[in-house]
Amino acid sequence: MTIGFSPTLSRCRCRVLHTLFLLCSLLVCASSLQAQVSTSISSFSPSEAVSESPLVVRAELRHGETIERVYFLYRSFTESGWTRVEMELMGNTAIARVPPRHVSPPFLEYYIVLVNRSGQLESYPVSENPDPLSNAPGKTLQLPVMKKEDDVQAVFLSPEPNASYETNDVLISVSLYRADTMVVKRATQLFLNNTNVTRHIVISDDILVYVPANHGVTLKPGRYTASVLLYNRQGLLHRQVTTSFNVLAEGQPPERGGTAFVSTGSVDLELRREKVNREETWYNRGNFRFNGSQGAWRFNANAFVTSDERLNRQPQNRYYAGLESKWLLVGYGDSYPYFPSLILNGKRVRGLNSAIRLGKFNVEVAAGRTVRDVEGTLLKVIPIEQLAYEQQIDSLAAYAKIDSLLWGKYNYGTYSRSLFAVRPSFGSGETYQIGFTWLKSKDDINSIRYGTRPKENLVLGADLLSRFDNSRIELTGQFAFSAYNNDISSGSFTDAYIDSVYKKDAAAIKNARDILKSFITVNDNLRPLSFKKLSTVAYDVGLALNYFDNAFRINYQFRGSDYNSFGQTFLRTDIAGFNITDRIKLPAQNLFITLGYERLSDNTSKSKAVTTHFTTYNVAVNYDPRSILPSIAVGFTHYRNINNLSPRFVIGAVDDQTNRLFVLLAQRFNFHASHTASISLSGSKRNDYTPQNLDVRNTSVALNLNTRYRIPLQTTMGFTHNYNNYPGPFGARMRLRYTNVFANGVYTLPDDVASISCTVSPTFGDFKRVTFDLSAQWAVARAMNIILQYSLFGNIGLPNDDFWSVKYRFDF
Amino acid sequence: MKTTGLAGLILVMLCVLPGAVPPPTQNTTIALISRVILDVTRKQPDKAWQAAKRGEMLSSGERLKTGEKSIAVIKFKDNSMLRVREKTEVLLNDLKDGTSTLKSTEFERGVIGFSIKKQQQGEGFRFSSPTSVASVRGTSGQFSASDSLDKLIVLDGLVVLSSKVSSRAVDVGGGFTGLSYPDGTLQVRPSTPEEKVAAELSSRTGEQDGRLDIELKDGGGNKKNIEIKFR
Repeated sequence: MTIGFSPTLSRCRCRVLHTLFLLCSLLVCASSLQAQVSTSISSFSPSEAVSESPLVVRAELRHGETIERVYFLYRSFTESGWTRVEMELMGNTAIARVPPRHVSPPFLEYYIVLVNRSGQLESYPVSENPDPLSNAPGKTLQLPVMKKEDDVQAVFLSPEPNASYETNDVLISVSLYRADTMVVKRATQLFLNNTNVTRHIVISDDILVYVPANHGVTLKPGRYTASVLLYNRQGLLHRQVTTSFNVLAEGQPPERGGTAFVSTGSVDLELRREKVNREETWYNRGNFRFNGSQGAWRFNANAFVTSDERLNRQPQNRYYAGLESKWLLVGYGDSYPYFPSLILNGKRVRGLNSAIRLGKFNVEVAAGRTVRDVEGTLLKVIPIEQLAYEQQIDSLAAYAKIDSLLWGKYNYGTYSRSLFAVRPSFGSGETYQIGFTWLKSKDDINSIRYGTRPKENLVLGADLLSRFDNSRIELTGQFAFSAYNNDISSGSFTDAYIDSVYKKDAAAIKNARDILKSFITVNDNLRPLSFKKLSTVAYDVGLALNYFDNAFRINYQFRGSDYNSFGQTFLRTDIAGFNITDRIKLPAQNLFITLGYERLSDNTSKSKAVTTHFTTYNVAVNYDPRSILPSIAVGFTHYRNINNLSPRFVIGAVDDQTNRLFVLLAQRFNFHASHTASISLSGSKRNDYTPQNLDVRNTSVALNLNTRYRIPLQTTMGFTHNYNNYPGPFGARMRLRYTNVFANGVYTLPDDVASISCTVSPTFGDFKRVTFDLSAQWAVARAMNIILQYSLFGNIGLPNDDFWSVKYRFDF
Repeated sequence: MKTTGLAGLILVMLCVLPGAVPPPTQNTTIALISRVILDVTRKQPDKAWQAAKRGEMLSSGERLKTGEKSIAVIKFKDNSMLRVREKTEVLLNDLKDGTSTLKSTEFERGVIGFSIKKQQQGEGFRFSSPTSVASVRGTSGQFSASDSLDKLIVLDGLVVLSSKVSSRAVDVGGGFTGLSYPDGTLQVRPSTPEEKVAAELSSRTGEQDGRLDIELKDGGGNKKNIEIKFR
């Protein structure tokens, strides 16, 4: 059959083919990659994000048993400061969640820091700095963020957003026409107001349909939310797309049908063997999930059990069970409650997580343990006559009596830490909400025998959200005051101590102690010491305006130098200043512009000799010509950090500026198959004007070609070249230059019955390695999958590492 | 290196293996009936006409017909929308040629409102009547066909209107109306306010009742807003 494109379109197509054939030839010669060099991370996902949507990132670790903690550090394009979150470790997978407000085009910049069990740090990608938590690597990574409206992996054909329907007219239909090849379409799940209705959907090719009326469900008048969840071949969530609609009251009965109990769940089992440095390690893991609903009530439960669980490290197993409705949440187990971000944000709490949401009045409560006690270990047995000598040469260690003749030298253990947070609030949050938060966290002194400096923390806060003019104007604010005691081992002041040390103000101090000791231990280690300089205060105020295709936001923040919340341990403190961003959409010109300016300063308590100012300008332009020309994204950022300390005082002097530029070209075209090609260039140049001369240069080039054939085959070819030049010890300059080539093919049998994936990725240059990965997925039955995976890391000059795993997944 | 060689071999096998798989079958689902008002029927190839229902899928080669005062709203997989107005019969096809795909809607007479999403490389959308063809890549408007005249009203974007009789083609941009006569003549002129309103009503993606606010200019260039409540 011949397709008759119009003459104009035919001419366009010829130009497209000509232009893109050249591009294709270039890319086939070069090939691409998304992977970066790391000795501890084997893969990172996803490869792209969608703006204003919650983002879940996963890093697969090699030899995960040796990794104690993993941190994900990120910042959006218009921010200069890094946000640090501790990733949730589940076996070999480290998971972090990024709130939607931080996910904005053109990209999310990030890097990962791993802490092994001996406390050593390693960053991904590799860092020239010994402490990557304090100083970001010269080369960081960028996760492209696409505009929400450009994400077409799952498209609601019906209902239309915010439309109103009579109950019998409600039709929910989703097209997966443009879903990625990695998506297992028949694993797609559909939720209506958090009720899983997947069992009622009808799937035909790329369209799935659910008609509530056909299943005896009469929707009560009100507002509804439909969510479709796409899963990839590893059973991981690939996309979640949500839409809302209304059901009209006219002529409908007030009752809602569908009161039958509906449940879904899954069981995952994994047997895994890793060989790293000739050392073999076996892992056995199981993961169970269950979701049930009846009417307006939902029940969720999950459990993760791993052979990595040890009493001498923090918990690796996870469990949770919770009952939830529109107005009530009661859950117990491992959860990550989100209170105002200055106070409690994403911290794992093992215990109670509950909420009552009545709209006009709400209460959220979280109570449990955030840290498990780990006893110190005996390092050395010391005869009593040598104790004094040993304590002299190692005064920081813990010493305890074993018997009348022997003493033991111990390393310090970790105290068990409890946390309690409560937040009453008024208003549903649709137009306004005012909340008040109380957080109390304390180390249990009696939980271990050998420990040092048990701590205690109290935070009080208030927050406000107000929206006007259909949410086009949004005013937000939060305030928090913390009290922090760095060592409560001696307890609160005694009267005798106050009388002897604070002779002048003894009465006043005793009075204050008597009031405060009910809330926090009062002694010399308590901060703040006075209320004159509120160094333990933090607050944010923001105003957002959404008019005329502009999303404008101005935010002022203040974080005192001593502010401390055990529910938010990675907040950047001792900083104050404002941030302005404007995201401009020009749909007629297919332009998307981002402008940003930030000005921050430290020394908020005026306790430092000088104040350092951090200034950032940035601009990014996305242009999609919607023609034969490729879409283009260009971004430029300028960082300026300076204080007034004269350069002759080397320590503490700051005077540097960094310019960063990136260009990304992307194009779709057809040449015997459907291709998406991209070329990206990025470079940064840091000039340090202090005598330390800590200049850093980084340049990277990446080419990528993703091809979807008419047959169910998808290939990805890539090429990346990185060049880093950074300061080394004793004023020397260091260089790290490497090139990576990547080739991946995924072939899928019809109806997703089975798929096979193969990846080869050699790295050349200053870092040499070849990685090879082969995996196969077989759907034994509709709800039963087996996944086999083998990975080989061919190291140059070192023994090869490899691992294989067998995964079994059953959905019910 | 052994590893690289093995991996290369597997990749080659991956590329060879697909050759054994047959091409996609013909009658694949191409669209969804998302709204039905009054008398709407459908006809699958080699089957009789039957009542169309909301939520049913349409396959390539199917016909759909609306009776008096009846409307059908069709959603394609890419969320492109057709509003088939009263007394209109359409034939839907999904034509594939290699990696190119063309969604085709043929009709002899009647009125179709459309809102076509941006088509990707290798994709196209085409309306055709006995005398005219409109090739669309991402726009909205209305196309009507009768024995005496085919009329294409374009609200935004660009549509190529061609005559099957004369083989001529013209570009019809947003705010313009293309006319195709049975003798092969093609004409393009600014749309009248009435035509814009009609096209707006036809091409709104609305499956639901609603309100329409339209800004119009009078002869003196003065802007006026009108509000239309429609169903």
